[in-house]
Amino acid sequence: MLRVVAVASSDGWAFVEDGGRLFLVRPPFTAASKAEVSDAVVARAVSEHGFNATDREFGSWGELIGFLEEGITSHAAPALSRFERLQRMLPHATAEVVDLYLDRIESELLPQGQWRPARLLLERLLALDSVGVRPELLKRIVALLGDCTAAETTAMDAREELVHDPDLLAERVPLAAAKYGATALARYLRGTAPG
Amino acid sequence: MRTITFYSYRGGSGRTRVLSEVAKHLARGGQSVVAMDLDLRAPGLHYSLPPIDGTCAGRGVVDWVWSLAEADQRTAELNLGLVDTPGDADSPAPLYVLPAGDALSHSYWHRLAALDRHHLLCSGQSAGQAWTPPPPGAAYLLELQQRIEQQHRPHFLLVSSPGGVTDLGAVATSVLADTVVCLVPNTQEGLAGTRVVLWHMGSLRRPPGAGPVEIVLVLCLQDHRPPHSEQEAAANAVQYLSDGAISLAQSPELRPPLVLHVDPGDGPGEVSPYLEDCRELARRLM
Repeated sequence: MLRVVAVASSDGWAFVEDGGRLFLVRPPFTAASKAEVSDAVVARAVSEHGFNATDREFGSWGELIGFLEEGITSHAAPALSRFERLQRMLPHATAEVVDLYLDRIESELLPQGQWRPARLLLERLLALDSVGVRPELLKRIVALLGDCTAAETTAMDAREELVHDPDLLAERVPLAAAKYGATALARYLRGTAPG
Repeated sequence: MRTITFYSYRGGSGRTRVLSEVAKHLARGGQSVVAMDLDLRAPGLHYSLPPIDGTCAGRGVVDWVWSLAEADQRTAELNLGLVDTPGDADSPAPLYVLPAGDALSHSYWHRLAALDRHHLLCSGQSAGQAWTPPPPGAAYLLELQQRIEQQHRPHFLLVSSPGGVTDLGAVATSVLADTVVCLVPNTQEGLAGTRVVLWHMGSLRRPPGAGPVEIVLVLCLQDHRPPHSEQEAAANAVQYLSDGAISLAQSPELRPPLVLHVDPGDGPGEVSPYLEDCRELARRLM
């Protein structure tokens, strides 16, 4: 039987008595984050560090950690998705903040091929008052939207391009083109009959 | 180089293990082998055939295709992993593994997602097409196949196909393969699923000039129960798998299957019937 003798619910830290020994457990609740302590440490935690003395028993470590995790969650601010947080903050974004967003779109989203999220974000930025009065921001957003469109088109065209141009196919896959014939291979990949 | 694809409709049929055992038998018999993992969304061949140097990082089908298709590196290096083949052979031929990639790394899934984004590994039919074409990425896999042949000149390329009905499975079985070793669990669901796949294979076009795919059935008896004898089970399986196709073109040409007995695991003792069956399969494929 495990007994929680003191707890700081919002942090998930707790002192636990297990077989007559006292342990401090804390997130992330791995074996390494469990340390044996003395009675004096527990007493000081309660008197000086805001731990609440308690006397709750648990049948297993799983139940106990579930209880501690629940405590952390209930004290945490309601979780918002990244997009929801962004939506709430965007209307208040100053020109400088918009500039930072654009930097991140350019350096993170576009190189990762995340064109759709990038486009959604750019369209929202485009509607901001702070952008309307700054032509250079407007110009940059429009340019990035153009990059998104071009990249999306390239992605959709990649498959078409490869199978419609025997010369390109021969350049990209020279050994396969040599074995099957570039034109015949292109036709095969297009699903069209010869002739 | 002969390309043999190992396919099973359902997971857990022992496809990877059988491929690995066959690869080792072939190598011990003096036949050089490259084993390639095309089960890109559930890779694992490198666990059965671990490279001696112990790494899959930067070495895999996904890395290679990505380099060619996305990074435009026409001369991407093909870096196969040599596999140890312990046994009683004096001088086994080399056995290499080409894993799907380092599936524990972020870059593996990132690169696979990039290939997905460009629809390189999924096919689709549109107006004006005489048949459903393979995905465009098949071109890169055909290139990879040729590259393996040119660079290593192995006697055999053994391909681990994804299970189920997938575009990549269609490439593995109908585009790349000369022979498909089709593992069929002796269960109703295993047989029914395999039958559909065999019909599907019958309707897929082969690359220009390529002959028909030879199908080698392997009946897995993990779930076999009397009263049928093994011979009856094998005959019933062939009968079932051969029947029911709507189009004659889809009817597969099937020969009696090789029966694969239960895999006893890696316990000590004499050579198990399972390993004997794998050896027999390797002999047939030679």
